This record gives sequence, C-alpha cells and structure tokens, in this order.
Amino acid sequence: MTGAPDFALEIYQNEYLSAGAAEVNAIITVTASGGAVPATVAAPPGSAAEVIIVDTSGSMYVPRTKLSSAKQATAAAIDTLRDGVAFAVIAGTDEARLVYPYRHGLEVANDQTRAEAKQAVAKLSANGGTAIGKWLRLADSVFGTQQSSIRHAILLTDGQNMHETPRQLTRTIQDVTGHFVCDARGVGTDWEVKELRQVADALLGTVDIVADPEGLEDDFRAMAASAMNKAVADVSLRLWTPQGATIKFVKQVEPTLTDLTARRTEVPPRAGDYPTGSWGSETRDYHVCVQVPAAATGEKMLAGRVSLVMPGPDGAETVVGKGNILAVWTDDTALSTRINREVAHYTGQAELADAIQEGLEARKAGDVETATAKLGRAVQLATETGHSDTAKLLAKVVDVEDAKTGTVRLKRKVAAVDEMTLDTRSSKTMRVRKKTESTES
Amino acid sequence: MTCPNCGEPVGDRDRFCEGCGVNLRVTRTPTGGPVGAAAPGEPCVGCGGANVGADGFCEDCGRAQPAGRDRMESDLGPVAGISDKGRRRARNEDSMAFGTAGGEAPAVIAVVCDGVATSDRADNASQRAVDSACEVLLDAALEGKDAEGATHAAVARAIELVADLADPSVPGTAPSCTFVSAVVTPDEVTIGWVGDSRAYWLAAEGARRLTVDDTVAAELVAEGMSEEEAMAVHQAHALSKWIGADAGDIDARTLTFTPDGPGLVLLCSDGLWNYLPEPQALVDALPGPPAEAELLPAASQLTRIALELGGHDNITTVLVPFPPKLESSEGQS
Repeated sequence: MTGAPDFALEIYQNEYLSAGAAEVNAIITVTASGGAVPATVAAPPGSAAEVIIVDTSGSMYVPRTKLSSAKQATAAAIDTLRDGVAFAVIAGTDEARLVYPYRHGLEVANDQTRAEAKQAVAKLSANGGTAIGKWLRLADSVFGTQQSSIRHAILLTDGQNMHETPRQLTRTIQDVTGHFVCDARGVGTDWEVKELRQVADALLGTVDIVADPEGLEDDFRAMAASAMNKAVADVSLRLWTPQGATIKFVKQVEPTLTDLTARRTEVPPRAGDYPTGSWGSETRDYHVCVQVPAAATGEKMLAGRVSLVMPGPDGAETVVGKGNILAVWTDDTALSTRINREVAHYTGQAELADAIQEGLEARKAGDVETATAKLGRAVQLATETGHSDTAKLLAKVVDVEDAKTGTVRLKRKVAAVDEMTLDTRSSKTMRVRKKTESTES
Repeated sequence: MTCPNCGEPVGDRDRFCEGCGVNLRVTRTPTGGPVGAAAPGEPCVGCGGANVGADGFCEDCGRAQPAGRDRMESDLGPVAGISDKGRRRARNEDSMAFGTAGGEAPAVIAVVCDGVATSDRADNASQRAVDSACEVLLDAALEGKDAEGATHAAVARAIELVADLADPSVPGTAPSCTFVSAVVTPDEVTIGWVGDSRAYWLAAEGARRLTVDDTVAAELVAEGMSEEEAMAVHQAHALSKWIGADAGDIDARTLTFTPDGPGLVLLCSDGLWNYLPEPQALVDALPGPPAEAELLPAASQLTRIALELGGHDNITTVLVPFPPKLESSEGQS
C-alpha cells in the first residue's frame, strides 16, 4: 500500500531482576511517521470509508439545540471528508436508517455528493428510542458493500441503550469487532459511560463526553480529520514470549488506556497478535507485562519480542520493527531495584484510572466507604503525578481535605456532567515527559 | 599459503602480507578481544534445544546464549584462554590478549587485565591494556629484545592508553585495571604484574604462585604483619597498585625463571583464584597432568569450577605450556 507509514519501536524497561523475580514489565513506544497525506489530495478508490451515525431519538429535541448541533456537526464532518473517500450517514433510533446515500451502500465523496448528504442531514427530525446495536449492525453492513482498507465510524448518542438488551448490544459488538474503528461520543448527560466505553474499547476508538451540544462541531471535524490522516489499517502488535511464560497483560497506555489482553489471536509457535486499528502519523505507548520462569543470577533471557504486523494483499503480511524485552537476573540490588520511569509512569496512570472508575461505581452503588477510599487514592495519585486536569475534575466530585494523604469527603451533590466527564476522561493518559525535560536528580 | 588475516596469497618467506600488511610471523587474538556469538549449531544453554536464533536468543525458551564479551574463548595452539562474565556481574570487565611471534627468537605472549569494577568503563580499560601490551610484547619478541624490559615498556604503554580514557571532569571514576603478563620462550618464562591478577606455575612437581598481590593486606604481610592480622585490616583487599589515570607513578614487578621441567604457566583474574588460591588445588583441578594438558579443555574446566563455586566475579584463565609448542622450527631445520 502506498503512503504506508514507517514504524519505529522503542522499548523502555529495567531488565534487571532480583534473584527469583519473574515479572517483566516494559513500555513499548510505537511511532508511525511519513504516512500522512495532505488533505487536498484525493483518496485513491477503495482506500478509506467513513460512516457517521447520528442519534435521532426523541430526546435529541431536549433541548432543541441538541439535534441542530448534531446536524451541524455531521455537516462539518462531511465537509472534512477528502475527495474519493466512500461515506454514508446513518440516523439511529430504536431502528437504524440510512440517511445518505439513498440506496444501500457507500457514496464516493465529491462536491456534489457532499452537498446532497448535507441536504439529507438537514432534513433529519428526532423521534423514537435508542438501540445502538442496530446502528452498528447497519454500519457494518454498509461498510461491507465495498472493500476499503481504512474503515472508520463516528457514533453520537444522547441516551442510554433502552430499546435492546445489554446482551444484544454485547453480541452485536462482538460480531462487528475488527470490521471497523469507531469513535463514540455522548452528548448531554443522559447516556451511559459504560455502554459507550464498551463500544469504543472493542472497536479500538475513543470515548468522550460533549456536555454542551455546541462543542460537537469542532469535535466531529477533529475526528473526521484524524480518520482522514490514517494511512494504514488493521495493524497488529505481535508479541512472542518464551516457553513457560504467561502474559499478564498487554495494554495501550497512551493516548488512552485500552486493555488488549483478551484480544489476542494466536500466531503459533509462541506468538500472538493484538489489534491496534488504523495508524496515521502518531505515537502510541503500550505496556506489556510478562511472567517468565525465573533463572539463575547472571542469566539473561528474552522475555518477549515485539513487532508490528501490517496486512498485505492476498493474506500476505508485512512485519515491521522489532524490539526485545529482556530479563537479566542479578544480585546487585542497585540494578534490580531501579525503577524504570516509563513503566512507573504508566503503572501510575492505570492505577489512577482504575481508582476513578471503581470509586464512581461504588458511589453510584451507595457504597460510601469504598467510594471515599478509591476517590481519595485517585486524588493522591493525581496530585503526586501532576495530573492537574484530573485533579480539578476530581475536586468537583469530592471535597479534598488533604491531597497528599488522599483524605477526601464525597460531595453531597454532584452535577451529572462533572461525574461523567471525570469518568470518560479517566482513561485519557498523559505522555511520559522526555528525559531532557525531567528535573529529577 | 594464504594470509590468515585477509586470505591473499603470500610467499613462504614473506614477513608481511602484501595485501593487508599484517605481520605473517605473528598470530594473535584480535584487537577488541576474541568476541563473537556462540558457535552456530550449538544447543541452547537453557533448554538444550537446537532453535537458537541469529540474534543469540533461544527461539523456544528465550535464554540468551553467551556472546560478545560475556564469554570469550580463543585457542591459538601454543596458548589458549577463556574469559567468562561469571554468574553475578552484569558484564565482563576482564580482558585477555595473547599471541605468538615466530622467527629467530620465538616466543608466546599472554596478558590478562581485570577492570576495576568501581571505575567507569572498566571493560574498555582492560581491553585497551591487554591489546596495547600484547602488541608491545610481540614487537619486542620479533626484535629479539629483553623480555623484562619489554614487560616494563608494555605496562608503560598500557598506562598511557588507559589514562587517556579518564574524564578529568569526573574525579574518582578514572577507568582502571590490573595487569599480569607472561613471555614464554624455549629458555625461560618472564612474568610481570600490577595489582591482584596472578600467575601460577603448574607442574607435577613444584607448582607455585609466581606473583605477589599488590594489595593492602599483601603489603602489610611483606612488612612483617601476620596474614590473619593483615586480612582483618580495613580494605585489606583494596589494590595498592593499578593501571589508570589516578594510579600515580607506578611500575610493574617482574620475575624471570627457567622451569625445571615441562608444565603450564597460568595467568588468571581473581574470579578464578578466589576459589582456587592454592597452586596444588589448581593442578588437581586440571583434567590431567599439567604437562599433557589440552589447553582449551583445561581452561574450560577451571572456569567451570569457578562458576560452580559461585562465579561471583569475572573469570579469566589463560594457559601457556613450557616449553612453548611453537612450530617455527620447521623453517629452520
């Protein structure tokens, strides 16, 4: 594929283990470069497809600005589509309806089709319920009408998935996983963070709250632009591990936290592929934790080998980049107790995200004790690690008595928007600062 | 006949290769040490499987195969040696270099240096020291110079090169190392040393240590203190002399002797002699009588014993038989 980016892999870890230790942690930084195509250049036929799914359930009229903002945002996203990209717009209620094109399938973007699509979107009215699974199924079917290497969907909703069971939604997500990437957005505060996170995590996209409908236009434009910048799809992270090793987890830790552990596809012997979706010019970090059989001090072993795999024509694959995760056993405690800053950084971020999500969950369930402990720990971690944005969001949910010790009291009244913002943003991570900027001694 | 260095054809009587300029009367370990990956086809040291990858890791169990400086082995015929990282250190800071000089006054040269672990880039220091000293000793042998004088010159050259490595802006970390050398000719053996790397004479009769350590304890014993008292002194094992920018004005001690009969000169770092300090223990550890020893298997056995006893430090073992097994006589007779 032309314009495929170059991938570079870097491994950050402390490979020294004390005698008997068996857990090896490493941060893998993957940088893709050189794949970006200028927005003015037409996309080659069959290279990219975009489906925009807009919630048109009755509640989108409450307030009325919600639907009009969603329409404007959709129009902005359509304008961002590059010539040659295949696209479609779906309106979602308790059913799913293809708004554009007028027949089942995708239309190639040009000035005329973009104008037609925007006209069709302008006529949308709101009515009915919410069945996100049906929307995803229609999107999947529309994507399936032609071959495109990069398939991206934007999903907007304002409500909970009322008109199908959680099991139906889970089933649908399973069926469409791997077929396209989906970024999910919740507008207002009546939607369920867990539901959209489930969609976005499975479909390797992002989830976010757009509390004010007026913010939708910029957000949609940004998502479409980012999708247009993707140069290669269906990239997998391949991890080889030695005999007797157990993979404790494989997580994307930057720009957002996504646990990929359960998403493994076996590649015998001893390797497995983890999906990472589409790539443009960008950098992502992954945290791999492997348990290996401990060896004698002085021994060195390969605890894992990481590479990236791009699909090629006719089922062929291209393996790019290679990084080794090492384990060296030593009696020198000066070596084995050294903490790798990248690993520590992302371990802290994951703990922070868990503390927030578990704390909010406990709070909803009325378990004040757990909620106070977890959110207190979150305040402490956010303060220690300099997550000032997260600390600010936390301060809207709890009264902080002492940030250093994590002593907090739950606020009696919390605005839904504050709680949901904290929840959705908890999986956003901060890149570890480069060594040169570090002030550590 | 072809040049052993570049493969160009050379004449029987040529002293230098016309292709690469290498001295054809000299064979020696490569500058930088006899480093290289484990021999291809060797089974994995971890699981015994036959699936070792090109990058030196087992494709099955992941175990790193000994490579590079971690385990250096070389056998030139008249001299062989092994330098092993051991089990506890992160890297091998010992180095060895050896070679043979043909011609009218044939000689076997060997040098072992042990990088001082508390200094910076100790492996670099020891490798520079052995390479430069080996070169000086081989040149001197070719020119038929006196071995003791050559040994002092070799130490002087090593000091010069190792001192160059020091970063004056970071005092107290100057790269440094010990030194022990042997020049073995058909008539005599000349040993030179600085620090606590040792030379031994191993023979059926009269096995003995040839060097006296340059350590605080050894100096106190030399001044009359009992061994027991000396060992109890603070920093008894600290070096009193070493090679490096901060070593001060030092010179090597030398010793020349003519053995009574056939045997082996052993040069070693403290990674070996800490476990086998007694000459007789070293003789007993050999696979057979010293005079009949196959050099590389003998070095391998000594190394293995040190590893089995803990391998706390880097282990370097170089063996040179006396009389030297040089084939230079074929041109003369």
